Amino acid sequence: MSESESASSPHRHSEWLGGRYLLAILFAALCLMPFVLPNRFWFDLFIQIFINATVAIGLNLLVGLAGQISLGHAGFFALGAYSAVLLPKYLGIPTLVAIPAGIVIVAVVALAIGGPLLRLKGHYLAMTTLAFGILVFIFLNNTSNITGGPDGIAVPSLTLGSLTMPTGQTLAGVKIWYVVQLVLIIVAYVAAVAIQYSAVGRSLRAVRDSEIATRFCGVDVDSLKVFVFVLSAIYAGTAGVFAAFYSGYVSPELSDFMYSTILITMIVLGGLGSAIGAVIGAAILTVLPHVLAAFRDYESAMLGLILVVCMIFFRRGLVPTLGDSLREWHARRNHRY
Amino acid sequence: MHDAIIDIKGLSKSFGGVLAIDALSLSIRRGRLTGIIGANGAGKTTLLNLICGVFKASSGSIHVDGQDISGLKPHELAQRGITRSFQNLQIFGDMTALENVLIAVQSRYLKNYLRLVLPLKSVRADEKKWHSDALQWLALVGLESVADREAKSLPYGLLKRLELARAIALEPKCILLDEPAAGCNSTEANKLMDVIRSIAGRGVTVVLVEHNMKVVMNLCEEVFVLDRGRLLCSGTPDTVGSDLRVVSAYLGSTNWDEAK
Repeated sequence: MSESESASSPHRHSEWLGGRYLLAILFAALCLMPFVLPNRFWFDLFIQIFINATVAIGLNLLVGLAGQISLGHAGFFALGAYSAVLLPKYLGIPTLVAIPAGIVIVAVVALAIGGPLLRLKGHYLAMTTLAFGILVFIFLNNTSNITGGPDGIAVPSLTLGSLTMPTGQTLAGVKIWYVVQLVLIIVAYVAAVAIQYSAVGRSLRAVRDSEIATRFCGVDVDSLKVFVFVLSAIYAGTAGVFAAFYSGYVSPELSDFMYSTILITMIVLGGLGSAIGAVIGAAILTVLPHVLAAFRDYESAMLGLILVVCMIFFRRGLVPTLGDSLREWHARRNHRY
Repeated sequence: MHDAIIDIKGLSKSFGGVLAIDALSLSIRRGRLTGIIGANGAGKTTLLNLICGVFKASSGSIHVDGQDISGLKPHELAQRGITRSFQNLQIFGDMTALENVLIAVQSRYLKNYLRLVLPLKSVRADEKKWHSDALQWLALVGLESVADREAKSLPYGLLKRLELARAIALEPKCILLDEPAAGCNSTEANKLMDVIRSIAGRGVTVVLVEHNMKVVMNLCEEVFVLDRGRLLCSGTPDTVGSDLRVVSAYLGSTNWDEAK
């Protein structure tokens, strides 16, 4: 890496150089995982992590990088998921085509609401994105004749000619889906990191630090914000479409406000602005409920307690805080010798 | 007046019935280091915000190079060569000094997002060019040695200069500076004045909105005095200065003698 490149972004080191080996190990481990995972439950757990992490990586571009809040991303996730059912069912398009079509629909919705919404800032943006998520939830619940209402609706299997992709309900199916979702999250991660360290990512960080100064640097902040909003919605929508075909079933719960909140918690816990942080945050918050199930009635209380303690000791999120201490330790050691 | 870079005619701006700018007409000449002074509430910053497209005028017009700029957004004005600094610092704190300047340098190439994200040779070449450009702008304000420091860790005086580097990196025709010396000690203010002079020396029209009379009187070739949204008088610092004694009641400023 040339000197000028490292000069441009101090964070590049923590995520690229120091993290490169860790990422390679993580990647190798995830590739080998299908050979060791004992049963469907474990495959499903990993797939849930991949799905959540994909949404979180996208949301992190909007919230962590550009500093714009969204409390309604579950809405985009659900729109993507329902596309998997509704498009083949009512428009008769092939299930495989429903994947790109669903993603396009989510992108168009995000583009339509992104313009007016992103004129707002802070609490007001939080409120309106929250309202969007709730609207999707109400819509999916109340249009029973189309969406199946609160009961949800079964998703048709993915088919290509005479080939049918099984859902994740069988061990054979879950193994295939593990690979599909792993590929998806790798693409999502690589794209996010490429954006983060590009001139576009740099401008997004500038928007986070001072929107008005970014404008006077000649940057069209409005379209940049809409761009990153649509992009993060595409992440959520894509994860949603694949999640629907994987589970074979969708319900309005997918657009629940709680899910939007958990997504935000994932990226804050992992460390705002860090793509790998989003993945780690998603992994922790997907696994924890299973671990804490041992506490039965106190499960939610324990989850809350852990989050509070984490945010006290890792104020900037796990990855940035740990990254800083590692660098400090490294610098001190180098200094000594 | 063909040598006017900014031509303001009958400009008014009211905030809920309060006239901040009242039928103001003035023109700022190309290449002149121009000062805009006045007491608190005289409308200096409002005028600056009107010129920069932050506020929309209630009536009247602003022409830049003969072109009506009403309705243009700040980034469009910046692309057309009008930019500004801020009274309260607006620095990208989490970024290095170099990256701060890069934001301005790269802005005109920020069109095809997809291309910029792809690992292309041409993109890497662009990045390299932008980096060396940004370093040059930093050198112009004497900040090349702190290029890789995180901006929020830099002292106030340097951040003021960093803001100037970022503004000049757009290669603008005209820079409006909102109280550049505010909060600076005299050493910092002197250094800042040197930098402003060198910017003006490059043929950029610099407009200062300033409280610090010493800065205005030392730097400016032409001074406009605002009072309650109207032009009270204008001219060279000396002519305004002699007038200034008369209007010191309006200005509420007693440090004129010190400044001399």
